[in-house]
Amino acid sequence: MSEVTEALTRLPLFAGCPPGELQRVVRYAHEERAAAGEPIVTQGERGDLFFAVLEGTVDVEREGNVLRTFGPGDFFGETALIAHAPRNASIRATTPVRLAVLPARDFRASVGRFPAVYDAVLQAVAERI
Amino acid sequence: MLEFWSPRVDRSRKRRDIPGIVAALRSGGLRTRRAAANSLISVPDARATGALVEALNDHDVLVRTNAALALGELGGPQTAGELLKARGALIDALGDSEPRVRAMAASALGRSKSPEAVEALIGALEDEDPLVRRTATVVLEAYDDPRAAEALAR
Repeated sequence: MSEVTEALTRLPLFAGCPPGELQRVVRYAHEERAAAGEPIVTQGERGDLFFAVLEGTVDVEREGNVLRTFGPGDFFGETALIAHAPRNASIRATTPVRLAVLPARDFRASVGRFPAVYDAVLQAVAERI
Repeated sequence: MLEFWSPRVDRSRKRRDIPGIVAALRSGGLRTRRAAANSLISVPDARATGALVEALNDHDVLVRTNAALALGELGGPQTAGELLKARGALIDALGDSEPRVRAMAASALGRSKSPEAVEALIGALEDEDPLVRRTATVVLEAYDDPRAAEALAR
């Protein structure tokens, strides 16, 4: 199991998913790093990637205002997974950051196998509105 | 998860043998059908449209859930007839007895942004289950359609 896949299996989002089985559907996850201040996602753009923070922190910005800060264990990019919607916020690294990046299709395949993952994502969407 | 374990589907998937996966979806045992529907999320192919539409009527909720997700991935060289068939079946699946299937059907329709699905998705805003209502909300927010905007503003 790759380091990034192993890191994904430890995320609260995937709690309850058997690691060996989860690995089968998140095997195309890869790691990205960003420097402090570097943009990761731009509001209004279309994207088909899901991100989970492994190390460091990022700011969530909308119309130039910081809405919240995400740290290890948090995730973003979920609305693009559900509706192929344009990104509804920008994400910028506030420290050096390590991210697990998962193609949306792989994420949806994991939802098919582990439906509770979808519940957790929608719960997060509701809390972030 | 053993519910999805199928060496037959694994072999077909590795070979990109879509007819093999379709055959497994149509005639396999429970775990094989689940694995086949799930694998078509990762390797979508228009040749599987008919079998996925049929799978929306499978007696197993996980087969139906994965079939809805897989139909949402379809694109590319589909005929207009296949697209219409897939969308119509997903709209019908908004009336499935299981909330999870209804939610996945709404999400799948949202990825296509089909205008024909707007009214059905607006109806899903009144679904009895919060999972379905939330999904319909996220999906309609991404629609560029005045009917969606009006329904969300109510």
